[in-house]
Amino acid sequence: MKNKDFNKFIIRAMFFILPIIALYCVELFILPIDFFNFRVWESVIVRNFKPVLSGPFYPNQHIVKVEEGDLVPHTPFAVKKRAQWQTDKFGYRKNNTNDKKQEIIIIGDSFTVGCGLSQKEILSEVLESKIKKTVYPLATADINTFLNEKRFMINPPDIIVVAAVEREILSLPPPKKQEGVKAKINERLKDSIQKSSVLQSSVVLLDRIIKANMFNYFKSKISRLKPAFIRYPGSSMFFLQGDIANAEVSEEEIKRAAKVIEEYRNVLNSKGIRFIFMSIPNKENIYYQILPSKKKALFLTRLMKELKSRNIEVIDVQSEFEKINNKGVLLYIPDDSHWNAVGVKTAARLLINEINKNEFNK
Amino acid sequence: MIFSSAEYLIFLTITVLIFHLIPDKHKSVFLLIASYLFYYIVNPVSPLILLLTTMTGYFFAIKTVKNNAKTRNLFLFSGILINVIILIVFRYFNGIIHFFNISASFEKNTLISSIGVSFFTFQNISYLIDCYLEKTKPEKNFFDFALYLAFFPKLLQGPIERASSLIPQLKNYCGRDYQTFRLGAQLFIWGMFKKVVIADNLMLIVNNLLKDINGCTSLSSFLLPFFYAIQIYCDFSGYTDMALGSAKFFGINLTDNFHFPYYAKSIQDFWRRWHITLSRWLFDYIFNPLQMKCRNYGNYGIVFSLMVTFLVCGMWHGLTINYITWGLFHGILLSISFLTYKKWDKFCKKNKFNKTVISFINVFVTFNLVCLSWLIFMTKSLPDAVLILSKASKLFLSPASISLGGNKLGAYKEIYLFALLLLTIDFLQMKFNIKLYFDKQNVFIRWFFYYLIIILIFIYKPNDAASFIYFQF
Repeated sequence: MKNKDFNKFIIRAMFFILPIIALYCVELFILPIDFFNFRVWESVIVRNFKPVLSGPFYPNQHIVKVEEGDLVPHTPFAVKKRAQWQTDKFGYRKNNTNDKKQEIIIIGDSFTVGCGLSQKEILSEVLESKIKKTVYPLATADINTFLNEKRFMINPPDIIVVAAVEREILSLPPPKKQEGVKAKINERLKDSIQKSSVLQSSVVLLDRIIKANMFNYFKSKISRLKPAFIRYPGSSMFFLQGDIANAEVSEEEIKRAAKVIEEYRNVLNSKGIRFIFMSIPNKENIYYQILPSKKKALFLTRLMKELKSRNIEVIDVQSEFEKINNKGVLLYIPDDSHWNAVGVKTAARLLINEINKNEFNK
Repeated sequence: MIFSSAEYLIFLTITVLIFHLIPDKHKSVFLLIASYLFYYIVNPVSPLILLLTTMTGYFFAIKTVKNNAKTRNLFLFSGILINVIILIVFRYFNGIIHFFNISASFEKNTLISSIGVSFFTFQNISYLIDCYLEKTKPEKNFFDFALYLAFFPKLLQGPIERASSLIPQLKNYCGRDYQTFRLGAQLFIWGMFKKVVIADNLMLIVNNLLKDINGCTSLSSFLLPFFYAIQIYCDFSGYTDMALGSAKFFGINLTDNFHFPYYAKSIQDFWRRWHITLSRWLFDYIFNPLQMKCRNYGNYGIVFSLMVTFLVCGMWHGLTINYITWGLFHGILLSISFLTYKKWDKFCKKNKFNKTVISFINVFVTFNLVCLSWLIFMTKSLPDAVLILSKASKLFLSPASISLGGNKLGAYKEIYLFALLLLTIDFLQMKFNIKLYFDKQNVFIRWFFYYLIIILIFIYKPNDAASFIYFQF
């Protein structure tokens, strides 16, 4: 009799949640994965199962979408552009990945991923097509992702490039090998899920269920919360942070960041891997004359000087960007916080020059 | 794993389903494993602290019964002392460091600070004392006792259950009828509404104002304690409702911690309605024994007992000047209330004041005094509380003071409406038991309101700022 009451409750509960389940089924099995998002990024990013999925994005995705920039979507200022996305079996934005050695790995953030860009325009693809070496975009990720990834221990690369956007440099984590029971359990889980397509698909499905894209879409339409646009008179350029991005950074903070980057160099060199650090300026850095304060950011200049004094190989993207900007060439997407294809090609050119310049003796 | 998260809903669903599928004899062990797993997910080290507390309670309770008087006293005292040490080390370690301004190199250590320890150590102490006083028999089955402390719906924020009420339910699973499950679901959804829609949104407003007290206008300073009063009520009672609802899915009835506290007619009445299990614990195990010891000192004895009890109450919440002052403030209010309530009662009866008017005045004054005490509770330091009070006191001194200035009071103005609606529903429930009326409505009307609440929870659940940029639709 007791189980009968519980069964009755379960049946009624299932009828109650049936409309919710039906909506979920429509979203998960009928509509395309990117139906409710204005960018591919949000559609494929892993939200809740990062410790057990091998990459930041859902693996084996191929999406072609007309996207808008991240700063002013769904507004008349948004610029629509067609972008193709492909993720590999590990969940990184790469066309095809086999188990062969990756000669160059770029560890980075959304700039390396190529937000606002199509697959062929992203840094790793441009570099690979020009340098004829295999280039792997380990993004979004940090040095510890690389250090704890088993496949790179078996087949280490020749060169690691850490590419960090200016605003994230101060929060780069120090290198640290994951240890402990939890790390081992996560590693085993990750391996098992990676090897089984059924498990992988199930985890991706669960992540999408918890993400609840459809419900959040309707929520965003009903709620009146909108981001504040940062744009200044006389310019069609939108910014992520405005003047705050060019704030002063103390000498102590610069030395701390330089120390962390030096630790990257040391730990990678000890494994026989060449290390190059590439700093990507904020949009506000290059277009500082549009900002009310017209204050030029000095952080990257000072950081580069500090890193060079520690004999770290660096790519000074800021100087090159300034030269190109002075010629009136656009380097960033107007309605997005990221660089455009010209910016990527410039950075790729600088990287190639640096790679070819100094032969690293193992 | 907070109760309003998707992870908890999945965990609860799976646990409930398995619980009802397995035979009765395995249910306790299964729930025990599930509770420890829950606690492990919250903090991997916390289950060890819980196990240590459990072993202390189990063994010492048996010893307080089986020996001569001297040995019994020794075991009781030792058992309580061990629990107090566990509480101090794992709950107040960081507070002690800051209180005594010990070296700043002691960074906040997540291994040491353990959520829920204040609740299960107090439960353990009450169990030891009840066994000593022979109000309850020591539990011989270790797993049943362990589950009494570890039962996950009440593990993190109470209620502080007595062994005599919870252990029998855990040993004999009954009352699993359809109405219990339905009530559980209702409580859970209602609790989530209070927590997510009202409390979490008000928290954003309160935190915004507290971040820049100097920038607050007189009006926003005046409103701040009232916002906080609603926030903390909805947060805590919402959590409690979700805990009670979760427990009901297993056929367990936990004690309700709140009984319309903002309609209390005096401070004594407030403490009979607010965090009921804590106030009962304090009165049973601190106030009453102390008051017995001081019974020869008349009113002085009672006042002294109240002050000590509420000093402990303040310290239980946290080892900061603000919490201690808040506790002492309530001690003072209770003492004044105790000393004057008979005179006030006599005065009202003598002058034949209208009972409704008197009730209204009592509720109004009590609510405002409680809000004043929340002012001390919510600020980081006493000077901050004094600053807010001084700004609020200038409210009607000039027309310019009656403005919000640049103070943002939240993007969703409807939250205030929901808060008022909640207080109205509380009042109606208290006076007319409107839930009974609601339960008699047909299923479509009831389901309409359930869907409405779920949609409101979904719409008004605050996004965290970090995800905002990359989670737009």
